[in-house]
Amino acid sequence: MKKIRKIVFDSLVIIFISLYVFVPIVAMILHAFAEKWYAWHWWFPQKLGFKWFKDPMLLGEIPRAFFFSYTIAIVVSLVTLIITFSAGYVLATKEFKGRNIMDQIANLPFAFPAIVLGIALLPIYSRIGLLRTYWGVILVHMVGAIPYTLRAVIGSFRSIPPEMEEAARNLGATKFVTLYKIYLPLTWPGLIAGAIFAFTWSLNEFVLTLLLGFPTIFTLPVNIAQYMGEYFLSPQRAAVLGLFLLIPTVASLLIAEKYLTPESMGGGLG
Amino acid sequence: MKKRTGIQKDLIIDQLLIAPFTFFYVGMIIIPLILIFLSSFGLVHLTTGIPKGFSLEGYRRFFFTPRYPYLYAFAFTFLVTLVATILATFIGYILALFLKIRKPKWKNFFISMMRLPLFVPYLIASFMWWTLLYPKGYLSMILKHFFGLAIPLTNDPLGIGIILCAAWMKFSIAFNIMHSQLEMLPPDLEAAARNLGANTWNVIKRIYFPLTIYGVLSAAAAIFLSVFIAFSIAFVHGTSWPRFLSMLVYRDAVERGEWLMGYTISVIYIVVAFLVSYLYMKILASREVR
Repeated sequence: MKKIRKIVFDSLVIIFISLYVFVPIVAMILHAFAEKWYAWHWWFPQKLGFKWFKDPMLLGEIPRAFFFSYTIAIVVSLVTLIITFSAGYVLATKEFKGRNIMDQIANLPFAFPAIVLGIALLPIYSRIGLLRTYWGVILVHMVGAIPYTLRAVIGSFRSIPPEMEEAARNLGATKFVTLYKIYLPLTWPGLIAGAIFAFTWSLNEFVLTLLLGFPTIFTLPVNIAQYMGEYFLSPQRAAVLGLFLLIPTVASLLIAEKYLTPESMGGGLG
Repeated sequence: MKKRTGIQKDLIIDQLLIAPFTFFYVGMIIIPLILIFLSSFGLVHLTTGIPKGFSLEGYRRFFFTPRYPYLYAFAFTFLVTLVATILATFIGYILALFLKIRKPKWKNFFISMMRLPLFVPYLIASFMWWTLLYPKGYLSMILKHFFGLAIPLTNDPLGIGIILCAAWMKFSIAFNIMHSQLEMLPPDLEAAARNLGANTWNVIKRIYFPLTIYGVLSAAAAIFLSVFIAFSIAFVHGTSWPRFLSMLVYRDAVERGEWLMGYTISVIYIVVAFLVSYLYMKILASREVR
């Protein structure tokens, strides 16, 4: 009897938690596929289908938003990777004065609101001609992407024994050869994870794109916001765009997890 | 001319390697933050509406405008964030305890499921919750049809939408931290307590909770900070009054062109966020010492 009670109780908790986790996701999916959903039939759509995926309004905007979202995310992850690979090598393997300050500064974007950075950069961008430009958006997306990528990259560098670099240098390899021939092949899992972090960060960045890119440069998150009442209300259209963001994001992060070492999960420079 | 030694050369190469990162951070973060700080005192004029010369006008308006709208928004943001933090930490802790004590069969599935909200972007999570909470959403309809309640659950003055959405997004952080902490506790402690006649509640109260209190605090501080500075959640679930602080900055600076107030609120916002970060680091340090 006690065993049955335990199974029932545990099952109830798991069902409750599953509902808590999945119901918001299911609600969004239902909105994306609901062709007809009248208020008096609120518990389930009367007709499911792909109407909203073929919606002319979305068809007009999706290609542009897709182009901006995905090309910006790819460029952001590549440039972020280049910067963090070289910086990560120094921060993870060298002891120098000011390293702790660098540590604190590298984590700065975690600790202050993006809107603050947005309104600080707005007049600066306006003066130097970066406002509402492709490269302006790329630069500002990198602010949020770098700390995450740097953590993953530093973790990878830390997992390599320093004796390997010493041995290579003793055999006459220059620093660049050591980076290219020793570190690059050994740190690639962390680099892939870092690149994925940067990619997903950029793909989902909203407020900085809204402030510094919109209306010339608009990405999928900005479009979603428009359909949620910024211009007019269309939960179905927003849900379709949400799916286009959610699926690649969750898939990418699950892949990134496979490449992460415990060191890179631990993050931090200190 | 002196020839450089190998060590000096290495140092120069290291500096060159880290230079792009340093220049990027200085140009994109440090300088803009300094400019915001100076602008809030009228010392830099990047935009219109900034007083000429040193002035505390922005701070005077923040603290002493009649009916205290800015202080009210600050208090609202702080309270809503606090409630969301308590809720998320409580849910995460209870679930971690459930896993530790009950050891259910589907443990691995349970842990994977718990991590899902961590992968969902802010704006998408906010939208998902909006589809549940808006007047035609499931939760609003259930309340209306089964309990006869027609209360606004999103874009409401109590911040219900912000709290529910933030708690869903962040309880995974608390769960992950608490779960790993509880797993690290030596099983002998519980066995000894059980042998002495302690029931489950006593084991939680006298063993688990005291030994994981720093984990609870660090999880709470991390959750508080991430909700406090969030924009998307407030953008989707916030209301016109009282406003969440991030939305107030957006309204004043971008919609109204009141840059002085935008910058002043930003400075106060940053100071509070940094204080919370400092507290978080302190708690983490204490946890490591223990």
